[in-house]
Amino acid sequence: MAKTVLIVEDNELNMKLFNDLLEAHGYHTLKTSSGVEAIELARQHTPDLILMDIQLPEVSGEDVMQWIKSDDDLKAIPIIAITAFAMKGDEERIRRKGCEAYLSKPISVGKFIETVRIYLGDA
Amino acid sequence: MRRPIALLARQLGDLVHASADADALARPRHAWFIGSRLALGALALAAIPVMLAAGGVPAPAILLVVGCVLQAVTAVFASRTGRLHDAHAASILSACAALALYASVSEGLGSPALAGLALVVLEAPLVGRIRELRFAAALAMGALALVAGAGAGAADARDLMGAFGVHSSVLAFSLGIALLTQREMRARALRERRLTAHNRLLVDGFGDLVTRHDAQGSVFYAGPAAGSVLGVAPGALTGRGLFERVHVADRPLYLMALADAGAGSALSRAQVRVRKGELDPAERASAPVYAWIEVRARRIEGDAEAGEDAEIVCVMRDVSTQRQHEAEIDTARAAAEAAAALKDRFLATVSHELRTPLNAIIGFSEMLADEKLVPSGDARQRDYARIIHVSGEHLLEVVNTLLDMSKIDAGTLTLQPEPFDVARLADAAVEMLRLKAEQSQIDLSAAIQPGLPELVADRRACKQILINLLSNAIKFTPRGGRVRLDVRREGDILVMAVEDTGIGIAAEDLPRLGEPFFQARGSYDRPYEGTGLGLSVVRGLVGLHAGAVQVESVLGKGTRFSVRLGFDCRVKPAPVHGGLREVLAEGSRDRATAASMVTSSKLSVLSDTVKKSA
Repeated sequence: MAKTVLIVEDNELNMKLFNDLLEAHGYHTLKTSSGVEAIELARQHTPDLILMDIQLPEVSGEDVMQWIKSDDDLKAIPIIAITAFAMKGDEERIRRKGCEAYLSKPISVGKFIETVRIYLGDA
Repeated sequence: MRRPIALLARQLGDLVHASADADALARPRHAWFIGSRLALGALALAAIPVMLAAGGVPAPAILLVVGCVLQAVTAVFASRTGRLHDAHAASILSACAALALYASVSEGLGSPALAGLALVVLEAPLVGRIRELRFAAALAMGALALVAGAGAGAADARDLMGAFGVHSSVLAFSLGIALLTQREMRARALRERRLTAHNRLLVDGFGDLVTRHDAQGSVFYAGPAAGSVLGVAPGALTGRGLFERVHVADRPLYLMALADAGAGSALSRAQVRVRKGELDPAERASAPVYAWIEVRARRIEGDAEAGEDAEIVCVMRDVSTQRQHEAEIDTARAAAEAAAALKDRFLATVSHELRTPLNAIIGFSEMLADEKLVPSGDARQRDYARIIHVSGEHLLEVVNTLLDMSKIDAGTLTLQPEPFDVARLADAAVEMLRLKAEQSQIDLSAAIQPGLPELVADRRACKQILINLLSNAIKFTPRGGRVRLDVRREGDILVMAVEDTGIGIAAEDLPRLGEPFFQARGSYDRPYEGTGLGLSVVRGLVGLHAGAVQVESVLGKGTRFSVRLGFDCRVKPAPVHGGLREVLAEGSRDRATAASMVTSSKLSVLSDTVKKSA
């Protein structure tokens, strides 16, 4: 059975990019641009991996990561933070919120797939 | 013993006339003169009941009593007028007269009261000058001669000669001592005056105000620098004068410094505000002016044997300018830090804005170029190419905005005014954003007054203004909301207003709106894309047209931006500007409050408690 990846991203074009890349590698995707909806989807479907954008409307991706990591049912799901914030100190701050990996935009397709595979145990 | 003596000395000090304050050496002379004469008077009055009880007052004794009371009168005279030497002369005269008369009517040259004449001479240098001493010596000799003359008929001539000889020898001897005393005291006074003058010269040279305080903190001396430091006469600071000039809020600090100095030998410091003087009566009416004064206080031990209390000496200097400079440096530093923080945030934001479209461009082009990832089917490949194109266009938009802003900032953006139909421009701007509004399910509409005259302005700039305002409104309005462009004429002014039902702007953020790179929320948890430059560009472009931007907003309800332009931007700016002010003043009356009014290039902010027209 194909593994499921939850993509949390508010930029439509970037969402399409991640979605198409994952589907091309045979993964199922769940998509949302809302942090609150991301929690609901995670509870319903228990995805194998979450890709998390940091700048989101309403609730920031950092907060959503903290919620997931403090929830006993969800904290086992690995999270890859993907963000266009790439200034000094950004990575460290975002990693402290509990994500397993951190990728900055623009992504390299190869590195992206490689990281996804590692956290899905397919590497 | 010391306490009562000191208390008495202080009481006496209060009786000394104020004119004696100026000279430190004169004070004790006054005090001694007044004190001793009052004591004599009191003694004489106290003796009357004693003598009455002992069987009546003998007639000659009345003369002594009167003499003593006259002494007290000279003391009162000295205390009231400060004319010590006149009082002294009167005192000498009345003393010698009383003694001579008393001796004449009682025992003549044999009277022990004549010893008093020697005392008058001996005491003279303690109070007066050499003139008074001479006067006293002459009068004493005269008095002795008078007594001798009065007794000449009655007594044995030989006895008389002997007694006269003894008395005149005592007087001559006393005069000798008095002359020596006089010389010694003069020399001492001279030394002290030189020393004081020297010290004063030093202190005045530094321009510092020196005050001397008693143990209670009350000022009994203030230096001449009172004029240059505080603008008051030294006399205005004595007693509680200085304390009452200290700012109420700083009084505890001031008293603490004095108390600290009084308690120990260390120097204690404080910076307090002290009210400057009102030597100029014109200043008296205006609000008090305070100077920051640094007070350095130190305890100076008194001569304990002489029963003197320790005193506190304060040296005061105006440090207002210094403090002002320090405050200016702090402000400048804070501004520099704020600017640096803003720049950091700007860099982070710009980096984010560039990376977001770059992600799509790089990602999709990589997929197209990769054999394994390229989608099968022309339609999907074309879709990828379209996404890359759209992202590139967006990137270009960001870069252009940055360039515009930097040109406006550098003042190198020049307008190219041309006449054009503003209604068509407005329609075009709305159409450009129609798609974006539909994607966000926002009802975008335009109300353009028909028959508007041609606008003479920079066409590209005006289009940019409208696009920035409209896309901002769409960006900050949730799904299902409304954005409306309203273009109409108000007298000589063209008003282009963009009104939304969006998230609104908090009152505290309104004044900062339009500052470059400012988005009303911190950059990391910002839910909205954008460099925060859109409004800065609007502000800059409107400023170049000598127009005005005005914003009204209610948090959570919506925002209305109005741009006001003259119909011909080449006509500068008097009629346009005046017209703007008028219109805005009117507008502000309709609304609850007007937080700030318009200048040509600044965003004006009206109250956030505005009711939106539905």
